[in-house]
Amino acid sequence: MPYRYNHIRGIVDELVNNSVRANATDIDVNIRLKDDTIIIRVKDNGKGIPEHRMEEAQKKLNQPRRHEIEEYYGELAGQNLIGTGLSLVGMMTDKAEVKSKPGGGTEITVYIKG
Amino acid sequence: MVALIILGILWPGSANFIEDFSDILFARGILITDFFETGSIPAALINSGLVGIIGIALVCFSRTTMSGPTIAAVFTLAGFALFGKTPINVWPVILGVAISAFILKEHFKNLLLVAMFGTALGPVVSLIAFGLGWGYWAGVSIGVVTGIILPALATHLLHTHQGFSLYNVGFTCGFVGMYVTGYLQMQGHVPEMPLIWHEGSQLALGVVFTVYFASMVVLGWPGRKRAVKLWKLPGTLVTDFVTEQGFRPTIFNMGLVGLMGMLYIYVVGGVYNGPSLGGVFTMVGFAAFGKHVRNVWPIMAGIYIGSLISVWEAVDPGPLLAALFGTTLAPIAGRFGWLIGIFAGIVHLSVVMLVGPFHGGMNLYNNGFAGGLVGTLFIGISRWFYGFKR
Repeated sequence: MPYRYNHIRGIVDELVNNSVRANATDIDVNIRLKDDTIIIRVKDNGKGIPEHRMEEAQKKLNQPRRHEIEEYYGELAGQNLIGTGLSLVGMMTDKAEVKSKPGGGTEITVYIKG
Repeated sequence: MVALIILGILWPGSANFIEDFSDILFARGILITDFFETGSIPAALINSGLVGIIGIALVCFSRTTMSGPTIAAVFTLAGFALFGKTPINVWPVILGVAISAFILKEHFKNLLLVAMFGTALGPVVSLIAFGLGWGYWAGVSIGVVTGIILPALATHLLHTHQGFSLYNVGFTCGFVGMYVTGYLQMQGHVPEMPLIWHEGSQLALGVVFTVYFASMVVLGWPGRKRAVKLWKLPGTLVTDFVTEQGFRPTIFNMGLVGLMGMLYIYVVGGVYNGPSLGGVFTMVGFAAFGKHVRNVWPIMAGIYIGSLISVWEAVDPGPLLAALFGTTLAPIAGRFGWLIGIFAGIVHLSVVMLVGPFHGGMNLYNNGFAGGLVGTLFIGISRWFYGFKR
């Protein structure tokens, strides 16, 4: 894959942490390479993102990719004591889609161009 | 940065500017060398502005966004140019990091922050070039080598404290400085750490820099309500306040944190000089990247309490600088609460007063080195008792 394995692992860890914090009992992780883009999807059956926080989550995940952060601080992704969570994922990815319903689980898909 | 240069030009007593600036450029620069004393206040302010502009130029040329981390890096560059960094001792480390990026086939911008913060090792260049008399190019060569290994070590050491010490490159530079000091000792050179500490012009420096930081509060005033949201964040790496709430709330927070630093120096009876103002500048810079009024005070209070129960006085250079730079541990207070923050401050004081000789004063971020060690201690314990259950 045209991307650092440990960064992919960090992003997956962050998204899975997010699901665990939402009390999910079923977490589905899918990673695939399509053309030159890595697509990571994490789907859970947790409590979902409250409506009033949905916009904030979208904003954090869809901020511009930050290469100066990604290469160096990207190593912190997945460290569960940090809790910068979605913000750091947003800095390391190009695009994100969030589907969530309160009480109905969350599905986050992130796209990383190689 | 331009304001610093203008201030340097307008400051009284700049008649011998060329000579004073030359003294700064060719100083050894190791801790603690106050450029207000080695050269003069005007020359040091202009040096600070120039080094800050080098930082801004790096950000612009690498086409990186000016945001929390880059603001922190620029202010740190300018702050430490009051007591150690010069235009001629910062570039070899930056070049070394650029070579490291080239070897890895990465863009320089990906390692920009390591390059900018890595200039903490500027005194390695100055000491070898001018202090030991090995020649400028010997200093440059060793500076470049330290720059080449810096990104690898900095990335690795992030894991140890998990972002709970904001000056991670300072932590890293402590190790690199230690290896350089060890090598110099093998060659029979034991670097002596000087204490060059300016004590004059207190009223003028106090007023000018209080106005400087107060103007940031005024500039950011329209964003004060959103700044309150920043104060609820723990401030661990990576928390970019500009991304979180925008420029105005960030500048408001930066100004307030700067005023806190100035007030602390005044209250404990400390002096405004190159190192202490450098400390305030660094606090201000990192107030765009993790520090805020709610997470810095416990660390400062802890260090002050530590000075009360120790053989040191809060007004002494070491504890005074520890209270300012020790706010590298602000995320500990932000995450675990003010009480743990105070305790971290006390522990930090005990460590920072110990570690300087390890790197012979060649790592300007001495508190970054100590903060990394303290952060590692606290996070190691926290992970064991708290993290494993999550």
